[in-house]
Amino acid sequence: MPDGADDGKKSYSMGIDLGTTYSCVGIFKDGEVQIIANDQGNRTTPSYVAWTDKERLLGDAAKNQVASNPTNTVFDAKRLIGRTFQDPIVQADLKLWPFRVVSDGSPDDKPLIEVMYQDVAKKFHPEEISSMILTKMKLTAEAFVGQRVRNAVITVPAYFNDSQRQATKDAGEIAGLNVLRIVNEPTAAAIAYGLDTKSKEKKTKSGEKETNILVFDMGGGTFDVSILTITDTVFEVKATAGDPHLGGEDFDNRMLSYCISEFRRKHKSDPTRNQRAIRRLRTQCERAKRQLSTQTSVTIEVDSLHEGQDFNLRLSRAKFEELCMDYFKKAMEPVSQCLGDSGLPKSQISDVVLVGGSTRIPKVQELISSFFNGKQLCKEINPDEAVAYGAAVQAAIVSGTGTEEVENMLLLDVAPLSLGIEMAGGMMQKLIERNSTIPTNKSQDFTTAEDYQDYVEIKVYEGERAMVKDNNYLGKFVLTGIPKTLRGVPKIKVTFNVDSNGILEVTAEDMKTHRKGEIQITNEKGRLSQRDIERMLQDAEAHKEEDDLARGEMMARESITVYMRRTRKALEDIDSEKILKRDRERLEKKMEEVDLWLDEHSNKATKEEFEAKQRELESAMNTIMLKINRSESDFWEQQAILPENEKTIEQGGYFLDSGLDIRDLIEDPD
Amino acid sequence: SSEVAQEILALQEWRRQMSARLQVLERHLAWSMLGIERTDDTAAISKAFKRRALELHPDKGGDQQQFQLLQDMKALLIPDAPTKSKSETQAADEGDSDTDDEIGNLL
Repeated sequence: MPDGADDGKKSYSMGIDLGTTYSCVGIFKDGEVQIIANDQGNRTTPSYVAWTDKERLLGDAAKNQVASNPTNTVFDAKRLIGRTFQDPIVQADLKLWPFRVVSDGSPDDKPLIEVMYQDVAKKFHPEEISSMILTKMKLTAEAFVGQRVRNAVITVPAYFNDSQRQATKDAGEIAGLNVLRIVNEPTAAAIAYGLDTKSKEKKTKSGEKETNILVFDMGGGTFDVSILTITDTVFEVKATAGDPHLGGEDFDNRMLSYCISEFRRKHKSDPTRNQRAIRRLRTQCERAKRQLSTQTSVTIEVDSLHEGQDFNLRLSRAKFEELCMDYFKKAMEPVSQCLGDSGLPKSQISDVVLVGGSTRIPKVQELISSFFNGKQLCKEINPDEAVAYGAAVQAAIVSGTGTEEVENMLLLDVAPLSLGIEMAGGMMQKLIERNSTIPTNKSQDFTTAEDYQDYVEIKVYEGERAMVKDNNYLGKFVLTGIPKTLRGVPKIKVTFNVDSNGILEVTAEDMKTHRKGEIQITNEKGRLSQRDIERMLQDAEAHKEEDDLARGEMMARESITVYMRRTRKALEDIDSEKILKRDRERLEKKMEEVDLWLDEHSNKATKEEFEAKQRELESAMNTIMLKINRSESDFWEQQAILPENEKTIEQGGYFLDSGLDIRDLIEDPD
Repeated sequence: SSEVAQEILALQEWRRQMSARLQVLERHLAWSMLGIERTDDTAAISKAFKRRALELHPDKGGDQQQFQLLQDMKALLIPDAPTKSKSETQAADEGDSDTDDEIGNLL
């Protein structure tokens, strides 16, 4: 039975594009995908979390205060997730981050992000930071549909490895989500493209047509290329390639280094250790980069950047391209590899679909277009929203909550990297080839090399190189409880299963006894243990109460503000003859009082206090309205023709079945 | 030792026949699973694969083992998918196409 249909009530499933720099959420509702704006009205939310003296901030609120609080504002969790602290990529990134990252000191060497919160140093796993961003996206979706949403499809770069996928799934669990599926970003974008194209073609032709497309997905931190064949409702990934650490932030860093060196040259002083200066400069670099996609030159200006010196630099698009050219060229390698793997010639690619903010860069477009001999690129779909759009569709497919058209769709995705085990001599024996359609499994029989050996150790790697030392070590699986006998006699079937999320699971079975429980597998993939996840989930739940409380207060505050505005408007509209001067003054006084109270308490009042204040105001207003309406004989007649079930009248009190007039029961505020 | 040599030759012949027979049977199963007539047209095979995938894929209420079998069957009929390691699949495919019909006639 599909998830999400477990209770009779209609439940929604969302699609979340969890990006390095920005995230986006979509939901399939009323037959179409809605990309949901957050509480600031933005359709994408910065993947930022910050701790101030008072509270934890998420999304826009966190990013907006980054310059004043650089060491406690965390971003780029996606560049850490599923990696070890000693990973050369982490070590290189460390130098650029204003927040602190340390090792957890365990043999797994997991990185931890350290922030100061209320004078206490707090450490978080990257999974926890991601879970906070996921929580923010979940709240955004819930505010839109007006009910709890637990089921989610979360996207990852297609070229994410096993550990990164697993860690992303863990982040979802820590956020209290039911992770329906981990979906590859370019595949999700292809769905958006497919549905868009299909809706346009419907009028002209139908029937089975095969289209090959290449999705070029370059975002803030990661880069993927996927080639898909779309046949009617089936989206089949042929091949995928990419670089999980290449994107807009790398271009920002290049610009930043250049600006720093220019500043040093001009002012003979070094701002590198001034976190606030670096952050301000980075923000301006990012802005300049965006502008250079439409303008040919920009001025980067920061007043009083460092030691009272202003920064001012004119940067041309050509200079920007020169600074980043090696990155742009590097991005063409996966394109060529992906084409080779797909077995398709360039001419068979009917559309090159651009996704991700970095594909707005003219030079990137130019390079792709010339790679395909001057081909026109497809810019039809929204590069910032297409992934969340596709994820929302996949969520509807998997949970069975979509329309018939959507539920007929099928995604056949692939494993991005080969999986294998270490053989004698350090050779890699591949069990699952890269670009194999998932889910897939492969079984291999193992036996013992020595007499009376009762365990076998299997080291698992991912990657394409012949020797395991050149590939990525995933972990080892130790089979224990093998019946003691002569070497070569035991026969243990080990099954490597890559699930629909692209995550490896290993199971073992003794072929002599056929009992699966017989062989124990110790999984050492360096991932969070179930206990870790549960503890983090509890921490997050504690925060959730805070968040929910804060949300309740926000809504109550909003409600009273709206009510004030409406009352003021109503008061203006009332005919001066119909209202006693005394009453008008009394109400105005009351509103003034509430205004003052709001000014003073709006940041610390509880939900109940807001509601109580609103009730006071309502009762004052109601009394006056009743007096006015009493003179209008038709008022109660109008109310009387309301349908039976409409017993509550917004501004007139209650209308009881017995016909009892309760108007006199309402207290005068005097 | 000539007796041993004889037996080796006989066993090799037996193995060759068995593996050819196995391949024929596998192919029969593959065609029936895909639900199409024998063809060399890889496009037709892919199309049939997708049609069956819509029924057998776990997302469509299918069973993962069935879907795995379907994938194996497709790989059997289109063995030289460019991303699969060449050496492995070519070795399995060696002399296959010519013996296939031959053995088929023997059945």
